[in-house]
Amino acid sequence: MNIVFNGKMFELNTTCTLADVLSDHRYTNGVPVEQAVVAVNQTLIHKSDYQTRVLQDGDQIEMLTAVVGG
Amino acid sequence: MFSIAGKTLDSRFLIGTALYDSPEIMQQSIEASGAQIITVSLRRQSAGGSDNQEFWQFLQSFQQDNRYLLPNTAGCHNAKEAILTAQMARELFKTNWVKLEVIGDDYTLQPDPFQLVEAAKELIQQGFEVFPYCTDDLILCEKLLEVGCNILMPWGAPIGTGKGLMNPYALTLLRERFANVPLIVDAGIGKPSHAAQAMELGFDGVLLNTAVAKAQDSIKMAKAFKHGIEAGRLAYEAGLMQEQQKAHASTPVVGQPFWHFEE
Repeated sequence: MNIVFNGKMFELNTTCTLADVLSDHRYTNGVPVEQAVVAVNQTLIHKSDYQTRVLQDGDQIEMLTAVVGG
Repeated sequence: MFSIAGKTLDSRFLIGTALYDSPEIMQQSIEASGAQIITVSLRRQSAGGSDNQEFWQFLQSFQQDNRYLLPNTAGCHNAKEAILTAQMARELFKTNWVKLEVIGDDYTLQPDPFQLVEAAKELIQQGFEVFPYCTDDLILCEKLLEVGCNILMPWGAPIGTGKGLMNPYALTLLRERFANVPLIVDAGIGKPSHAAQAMELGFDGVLLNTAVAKAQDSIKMAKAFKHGIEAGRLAYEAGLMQEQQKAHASTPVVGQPFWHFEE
C-alpha cells in the first residue's frame, strides 16, 4: 500500500492509522503533532480522529505547521 | 483605541512576520511596531526546522496581553484551496480569524475577486471572521460585505512593490461609501508616509510586511511606521485643511512696515 506524505510517496507494509505515521520521524521531520495540522485527501482531520483514521492505499496526507507570513 | 473583529486595540498597525533577516530581528521589529495583530501562515515543515520550533514558541508567547494571530491563506489560487487552508489554520492556531487571500494573477498577486467572494461566503457560513485581501474595486467590496464580511482590506498596490497608494481616489471612495466598516490598507506600502496617507484618508489601520522586513534597519523602520500611522490617524481626527488654488499669507497683513507699501 502506498501513501503520499507531504508530496513524497511511502510504502506501508502494515495497516496504519494516521496517528501511527504522525508519530514517526521519517514522515514528520520531527514536528510535534501538537504543532501541526493535517489534511487527508484535501479534507481537514481533527486531532481527535488521528487514532481512528485508518490509512488507505493512495491517501494523500498534508501535514502543515506554522510559518512566517505576510 | 480601535475596534476590529470584537477586539479593542491600541495599535492600528498590523504587521507580517516574513522576510526578516533573522527571527530575532523579526521579534524585535514586531515589538517596536507595537502591533497587536501579526500575520502567520501554514506550510510543510522542512527537514531540521529548528527555526519553526522557535517560531512556534514565539507565537505562543505573543498571544498574551490583547495580542492576536491573523493566519493567512497565501498561495491559494481558488476558493477550495483557500477554504481548506483556513480550516487548517483554525485548527492549528485556535482562531476563527483568517486573512483571506485568493490570488488570481501571479505577476501582480492580484486577488481573484470571484473566487474571493465565493470563499468568503463559505467561510463566514462556517463561523470564520474573514479579513479579505481585496482590490479597491467598489463593487467587489460591496459583494464582500453582502456575503457577511465585517472588515475590508483593499490593497494600496501589489504585494511587495512598495509603491504606496496607487489609487487614492478609489480608496477615498471606499471610505466614503463604507463609513462604518473597518478598512485596512493591506499591501503595497513602502514608506511611513504612505501609511500616514492611508490613515489621513480615514482608514482604520495598515497591514504591511516587506517595507519593515526589507529595510536596512527593520527595528527602526517598524518604529517609523508606528509613528507614521499614529500621525496619520491624529491628522484624520484633527481634520485636514481644505486645499486652495490661491495663496493666502499666513502672517498678518495689518501692521506691515512702510516699505511694503512703496512702489
